[in-house]
Amino acid sequence: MMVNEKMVTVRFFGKLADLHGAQLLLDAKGKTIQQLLMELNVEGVYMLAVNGTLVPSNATLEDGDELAIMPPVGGG
Amino acid sequence: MEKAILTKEELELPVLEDHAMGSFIVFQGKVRSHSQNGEVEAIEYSAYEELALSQLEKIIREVEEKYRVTVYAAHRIGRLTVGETALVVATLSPHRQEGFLATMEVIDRIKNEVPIWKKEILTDGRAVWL
Repeated sequence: MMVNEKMVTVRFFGKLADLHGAQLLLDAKGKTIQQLLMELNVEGVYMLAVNGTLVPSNATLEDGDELAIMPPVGGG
Repeated sequence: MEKAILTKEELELPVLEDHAMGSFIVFQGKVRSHSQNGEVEAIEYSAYEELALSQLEKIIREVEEKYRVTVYAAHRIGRLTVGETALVVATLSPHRQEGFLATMEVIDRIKNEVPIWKKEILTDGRAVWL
């Protein structure tokens, strides 16, 4: 548990989960989401959420955050 | 009754009653047998469930306020075969005009704002993200 508290949990959804895996644990404290997306080479992002709340890509990550990276949605 | 539902169970049609409302519209979105990719066997719906539910609740609240109607919306997740219902939107309104407008707006917003994804499973074995 100590490890999770000092890391950011990154969850991918939809097509992005097939490309990058469903979940990663990363040391990303202080980085913006945009920086992280570039480092992970993630493209095709439609929505981002931190701890269940939609956020812009310039939001900064903190230890213990759960970041959701989501491709274009298509329910219905 | 909950007005926003996300479930793995088969969807049931809601019964909404309000004697001040003269219109009751029910829309069902179903899995089609064909798409531009070929013959469809099933669609796998996945979601970021916590956010999907809060987004669905937000859409219902905003559309109800805008049109002065009562809205119910339920989306199924998991593997659905052809003919099964993936989405139910039901709207009670004083008159049909605002009911149809509200129903359309809820469906359009679900397709654009709720984190749900579809993977089409084709009869030839291919799987295509939509």
